[in-house]
Amino acid sequence: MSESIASYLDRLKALLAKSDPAVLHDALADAEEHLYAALDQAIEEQPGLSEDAALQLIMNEYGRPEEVAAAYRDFEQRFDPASVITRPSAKRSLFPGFTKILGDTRAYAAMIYLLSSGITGIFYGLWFLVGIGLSLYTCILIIGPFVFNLFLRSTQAFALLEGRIVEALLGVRMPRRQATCRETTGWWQGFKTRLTSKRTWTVLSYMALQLPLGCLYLYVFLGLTALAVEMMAQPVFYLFEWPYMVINGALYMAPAWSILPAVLVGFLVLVLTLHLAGFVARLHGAMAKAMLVGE
Amino acid sequence: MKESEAANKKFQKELNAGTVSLILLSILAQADEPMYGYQIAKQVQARAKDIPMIKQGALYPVLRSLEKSGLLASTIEPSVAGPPRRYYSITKTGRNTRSTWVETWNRAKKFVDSIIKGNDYE
Repeated sequence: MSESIASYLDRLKALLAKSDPAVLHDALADAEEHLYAALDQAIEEQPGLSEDAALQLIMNEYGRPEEVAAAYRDFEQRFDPASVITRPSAKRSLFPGFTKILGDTRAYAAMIYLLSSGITGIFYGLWFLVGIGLSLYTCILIIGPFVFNLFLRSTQAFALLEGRIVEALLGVRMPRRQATCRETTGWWQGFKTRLTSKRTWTVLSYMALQLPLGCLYLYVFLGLTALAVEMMAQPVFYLFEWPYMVINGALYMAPAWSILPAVLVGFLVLVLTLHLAGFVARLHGAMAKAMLVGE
Repeated sequence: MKESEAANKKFQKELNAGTVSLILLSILAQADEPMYGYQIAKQVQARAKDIPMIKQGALYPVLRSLEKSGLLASTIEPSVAGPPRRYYSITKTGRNTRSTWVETWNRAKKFVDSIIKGNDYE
């Protein structure tokens, strides 16, 4: 990487250190893309121009890191991209107090995330196992490091994908672009950079963790939702004389008096499940941000 | 002298901030194919000539916000020379919004002109 571009990016990074890591990530990706594209063009148009002289002009036009950082901060304050999922409004909701969550789209989005993480979790977990397994297996061959490097690169793509899902459903601001790792000094240098980056290992841990976590989420939330729905559907069961339980061939019908309490308890379970989903989603969002977003 | 220069700079900056979205939408509306950030910045600069425009680095967050609002769409393509590039193109909503903004801009321009000349705005 060009010395002056690297130092420009470092300055921009320092200035945005206190901003949302995802904004920092976007700002660095934009700057890197622009500076290299401009440098490439400048060298093509004026082959005699030195790289430093060209970059001086380019950076002047792009703006000082202070100006660029200010533009991103300004934009982030005016327009919070993670707020696409509507925040509950202050005006009176259809559902009072404790049951207000029934009208909160975020709780449903969280629920969708938790249920679907059972499937994505299995996928991430399997990819993790296959990747690690293949890397270990090929270790005895000369291509071992190549395979491991390729696997690490693929996990970065998964981190980006998972980040997009987390932002859309959990409303946590995540990066929109993949961190670029320039390999001007060859793949070995890139591999070493990757091995020493903390993020590589946190992303790997996240992928491995998603397998048990996703299954747990799916198990708990599908179970709770099914329980709530079944209890609330008791009047329908009663109407059609369906048994609510079959044990050893004996059908058990719910007595008439139990219908109202069952519906009420089912409703309570549903509301509590949504609250729990919101809570777990907040924790999971914080964890995803800590593990998937990095330098 | 210095004070009036600063005031002038501030005026230009505010004017730029107010029009940059319309400028970017219009450039992409006239483009035949998707453009990446540097191409867009280059075109803004070439057409601004001696008007002091917004710094190129400040165009990128605007492009992102336009995309987030659904007025632009983007795809990432690898590049030979450096990091992957994000190519922007205008969406249908973007074109419709642009037409409305052009009308708004024309009205505002006419109004300001009439004030400057001392005429009544019809």
